[in-house]
Amino acid sequence: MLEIGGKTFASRLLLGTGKYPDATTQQQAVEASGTNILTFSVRRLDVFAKGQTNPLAALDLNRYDLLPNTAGAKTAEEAVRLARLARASGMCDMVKVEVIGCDKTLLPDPVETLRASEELIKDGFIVLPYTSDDLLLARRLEELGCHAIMPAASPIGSGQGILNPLALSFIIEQLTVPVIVDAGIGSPADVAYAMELGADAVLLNSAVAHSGDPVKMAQAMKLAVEAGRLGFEAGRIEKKRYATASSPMTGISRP
Amino acid sequence: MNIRLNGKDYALIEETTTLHDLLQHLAIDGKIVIIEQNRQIIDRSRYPDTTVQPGDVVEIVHFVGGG
Repeated sequence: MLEIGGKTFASRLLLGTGKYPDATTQQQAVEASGTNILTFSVRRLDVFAKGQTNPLAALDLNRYDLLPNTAGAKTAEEAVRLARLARASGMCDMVKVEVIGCDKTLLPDPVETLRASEELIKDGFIVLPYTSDDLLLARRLEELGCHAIMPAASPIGSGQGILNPLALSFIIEQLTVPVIVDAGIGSPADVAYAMELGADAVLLNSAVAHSGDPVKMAQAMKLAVEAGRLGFEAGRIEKKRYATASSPMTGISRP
Repeated sequence: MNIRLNGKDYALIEETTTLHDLLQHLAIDGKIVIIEQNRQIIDRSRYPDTTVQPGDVVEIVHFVGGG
């Protein structure tokens, strides 16, 4: 079971919302993924447009734990404000701290992420910062009291998969709190790889929502999380330079 | 009476005196929204007795898709 801030979750897959072709596909993909945690953003309501429907309306939000993000924030102060607005909905006490420092790469600003996380922990949130794959930053975030750390596999929405498995594995080995690989995942193979490295969970959005068949891909990601996790728990064999026979080398019958 | 609503000037009708009235007037009283008035987040239970003053800066936000 995945445990974050005292809550337990059967699924080790966290899923983003939005970006789907339509609300029905989203609802079916969320269902197929088996996820327990959905992420959201906080934005201005277009109060001047009448009769608009929110694509999230098709989701039964009572069935999921909500993880609002602070996307859009460029400073700690902006992130803290967005987190507080989200919590004021009365629907969540977790927050994904996301403070972007570069518009082109969408890489997180480490200093502002640290500051925002510190403030939100003081304020009683369950804090999950989105961060780079820097081990020392991850350790600092854990020392602050963050409840999980979410290092990126590669830039957000890039689908490049895990660019630096070594850096991710350092974080996974050294941290005590859950490590959730967030951002950059492209395929089920990437997900299985992250889980085999020992990640506690994976957070996805584009890889499912923008795939050719989001419902089928959501199921594929669910299975990849489970396969990768089982593989990690089982423990893979060592790599060797030369072959090792699978069949007995003795008692070979010859005419 | 004018307020600043989600970044735009907005003229309130006379009947709108509270945040609850404002949500009703905008026909969004059934939705999950969060209101910030002059940089203060207002607790949902206080919408009916929180008055709107001329010049108030009101932000109404909600959840949208995000990763």
